[in-house]
Amino acid sequence: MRSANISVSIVLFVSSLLLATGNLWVTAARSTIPLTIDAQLNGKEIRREKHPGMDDVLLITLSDGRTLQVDAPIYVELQEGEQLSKSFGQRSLLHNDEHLTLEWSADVQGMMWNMPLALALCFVLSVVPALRQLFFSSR
Amino acid sequence: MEVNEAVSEQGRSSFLVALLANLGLVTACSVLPALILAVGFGRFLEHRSDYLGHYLAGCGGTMGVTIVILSVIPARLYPKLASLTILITCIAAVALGAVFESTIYRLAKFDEVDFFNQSLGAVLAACGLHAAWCERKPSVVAVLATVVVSVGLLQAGYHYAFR
Repeated sequence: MRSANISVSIVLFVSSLLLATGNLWVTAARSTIPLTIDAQLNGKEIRREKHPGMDDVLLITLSDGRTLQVDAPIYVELQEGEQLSKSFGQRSLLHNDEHLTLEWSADVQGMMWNMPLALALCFVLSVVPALRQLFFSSR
Repeated sequence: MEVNEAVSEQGRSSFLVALLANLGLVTACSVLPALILAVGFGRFLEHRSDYLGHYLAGCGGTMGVTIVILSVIPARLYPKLASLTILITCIAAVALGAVFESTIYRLAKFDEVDFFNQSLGAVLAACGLHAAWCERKPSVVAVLATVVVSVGLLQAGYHYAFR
């Protein structure tokens, strides 16, 4: 049973690692900084969420078939029909010969602090059964 | 008579110690971690209270359902079933959250960040319950205390998700 407890601890911690990484990736991708783009902007769309104007979903559709959710400062600068170009990790987006400087959003900056905190808590709680086995294994 | 009183006094003392130990485990493994991460969401992502709301709802919902299920496992089967029960309940909670997020709470689109935050709450709740109760069955007091905490987290989650 003890090994089952440790296995479950490992599964739970790995799950938290995947979820925290997913949070960081999705919010970072909305800045387009970690993406490679070389396509034409075919369409723009705003979808309203619970708090219109605050948490709107801003979507752009590219000629390569991708639909990306982007941060507001990017969305307002781009126009339909423009050719977009950037490489992975590049902090500027070329749109019709103009450079748009890309910044990490407040979401990414918040996640960069909060996700390690979440992982630290999950890690500490995950090692408790293993520590209990180490120190109280005589029971 | 004196012997009976001494035994009774000893019983009261051990009951009090067990009570405090149970409440201490609930606090250390479930309440404190949940509150620390909630403060983190409030501090680092204060511009998006809905992220905090989804986290709290995932944490509270999973915590409440799991502790109730743990409390009805027969004592002789508990050491064999507890860990797996916590894991399966956590997976079910994450799956249920995904269904909610893609149906009744799908407004603009399936929001991956909302899903990740509520699932992270579910996993943290499961980690806490596993740390505290993977070998020893929770007492009635521990179950009640955890249910009260989970209802509070759910209410706070609803408040912050929709305010």
